[in-house]
Parts: sequence; C-alpha cells; structure tokens
Amino acid sequence: MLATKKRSASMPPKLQKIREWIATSAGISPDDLSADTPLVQDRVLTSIMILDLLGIIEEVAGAPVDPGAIRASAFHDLGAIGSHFLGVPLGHGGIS
Amino acid sequence: MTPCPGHMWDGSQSSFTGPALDLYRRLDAMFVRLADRIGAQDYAFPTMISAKTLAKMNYFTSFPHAVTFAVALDRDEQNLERFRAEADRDAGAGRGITLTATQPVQEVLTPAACYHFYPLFANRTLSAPAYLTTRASCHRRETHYEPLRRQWCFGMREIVVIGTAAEARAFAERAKHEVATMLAALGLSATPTVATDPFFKPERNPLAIMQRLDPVKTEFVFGGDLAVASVNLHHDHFGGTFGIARDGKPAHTACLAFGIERWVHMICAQYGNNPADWPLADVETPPVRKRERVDA
Repeated sequence: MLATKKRSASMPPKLQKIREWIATSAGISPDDLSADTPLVQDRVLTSIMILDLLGIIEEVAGAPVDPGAIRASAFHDLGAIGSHFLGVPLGHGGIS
Repeated sequence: MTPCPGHMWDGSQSSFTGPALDLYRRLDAMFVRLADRIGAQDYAFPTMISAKTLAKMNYFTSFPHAVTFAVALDRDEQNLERFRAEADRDAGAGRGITLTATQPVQEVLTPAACYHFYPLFANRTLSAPAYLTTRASCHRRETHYEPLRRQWCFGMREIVVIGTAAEARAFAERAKHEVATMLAALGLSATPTVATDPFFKPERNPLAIMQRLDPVKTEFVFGGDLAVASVNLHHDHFGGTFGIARDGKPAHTACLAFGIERWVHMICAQYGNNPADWPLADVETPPVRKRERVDA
C-alpha cells in the first residue's frame, strides 16, 4: 500500500483526476488504484463506466478521443491512459 | 459457391435432404460427441425467446438491426378483417404483407442458442459448474444473405459453462483446443482470430467498446472471412444479470458456438460436391434421427 501511495503521489494532476474518478465509480479507494493496476483484467473498469470514462478523458485532455485509439493497450492501466491520452511518458508512476 | 447435393436455398435460408442433410446431422453429432466428453447436459428449447429476457441482456440496445420479431395481430375483429382483405393478394404478388394493428411484441425468434440457459438458471446457486448444450434454429436479420454462409435462419450448436471465473476460463481454453483438434482431424483449416460482436453503432455502445478493451471472443475463420465457430467469455455479465451464483459470487459463463450450415459450406468448399469425398463417414448419427431420414 505504501508503494501505491508513493506512485500516486507522483502522478500528474490530470491523471490523478482520472484516477479519482475511476476509483469513485468502481467503489474503491483511490489508494487502492496504482498507476499499474490492471483496470480491465482486474475488472475495475466495467462497461457501465466506459462511456463516462471517455468523457472524463476528453475533458481532462481537452481533446476528443480518437476512436481508433480505443484499444486494449491504451486502457490497460492508469499509466497507459496517461501515456496514450495525456502525453505522460510511459514509465511515469512506476510503469515499466 | 460449390454446389452441395441435397442443399436447397430460398434466398435467406436453407433446406436439406439427402447427402447434405446427412452431412448436417453428422456434423451436429460430432459437436454433441464433444459436448458429451465435456459432460454437458443436452437441452431442447422452443423457437421463440421472451423479449423480457433479451431486454435484461440489453439485446435490443445492442442488436436492434438483427432482431426478428414474433408478431401477432391485434385480435379485434375489424382489424383482422382489414388485414385479410389485403394479405393474401399482397403476399402472393410478392409485395410483402403490410400489417394492420399488432399486439405488443412479447417474443422474438431466438438469436443465439445459449440465451435460453441464463434465465433457466436464474436465481440459483450452483455447487458445481454446469456444462450445458443445445442446438437451436437462430435468426438474425442481415443486410444480405449467402447460401450456407450468411442466413436469416441457421442452425447453431452451443456448449456452455456456468461456473467460477477460473472454470469459465478453463472451458474457453479447452474449447479452443477442441475446435482446433476437430478442424485438423477433418483436414480443414480455420484461423483463430480475435473478434467482436456486430453491435449497432459500436462506437457509442459500451459493451462494444469493452470488447475492444477486453477481447473475449475468438472466432475460427475459414477462407479468410467466414467464422465457423466462436469461443466467448462473458465474465459475470449473465451471472450478475440473472442472479446466478457460484462460489459465493455472480457466476461466470462462457460458450462455444458452431454455425452448422457454415461447416457444411466449409466441407463442400474443401472437398467438393461428391459426398464420397466428404469426411465424417464414420460419425454415427443418433438412431432416432436415422429413422426420421427421408432420402431424396
């Protein structure tokens, strides 16, 4: 848990906002959601959330999500979302 | 298309007799034999399925373009009089029937064989995984039809598991292996390919988007464009929707589906139109079906 909090502390504010939205929607604490938590594989992210998540990403990024970018690798975890949609370099927040 | 002796086509669906019917039955017998090895219990269901059941699955949101409705006329006598005044003439002239007032649709023609199982197990707690199989005449509207390849009405054999997440995953992996083995034994080649279901407006459908993020469907594709079998993981979608529990949690489900007409096509395409060249001669069909056989 300590390691998770350490990673989250270094998250950029935009990614942090997405993290908080996902955690709230999934009914878990943001502290339980690290940058490399598998969102789909661990079923944190469900179909009920997906359209709203795209809306949040567009709001935070300030740009529409390219439909072609909606693929498994882009939504694997928060680090991947940051990398694909917010320009956060891959490797940030403990992503290798 | 390679002619298949005993196969008849009416523009959107097939009829069979003679060698083609024999092949159709042997193929289904082969699928049933696999279901037996898996320990699946066989079921027979009616042609129609309730709209209420499909609505719980969000079917009408996801596949409105594919639904075939079982429509009944309003029983009002004047309504029936108006209907019968035109129906035979219009249908006979090939113009199709314009319906007068109808009753609200409560049933539709089954679009997928496995859909009958989830309401059947609703609100039950399973102490062991349930392995199930059925063959259904399935109905899906399409923009165009091709004999044996894409039909409004077609035969689908499915084998289904309802169990834990691990049991569903293990079933799906075994199903892929069994299909690959079956194809190889018949000298056929179909490539396992990650696929998605044909959702309406997939770009705005959350289930369609999730299928892209979490590939749960593997199709075995023959000739580059014809899916002859599919293995599908549903996670706990049906278990949660229908209150089916396993190991203290919503049950997970998975299914293996065979499109029987497409297997007939695959064998005719691969081996030609001489039944003597077709495989499966050693597969016995159930005796009761032999007694029903009517030769061409």
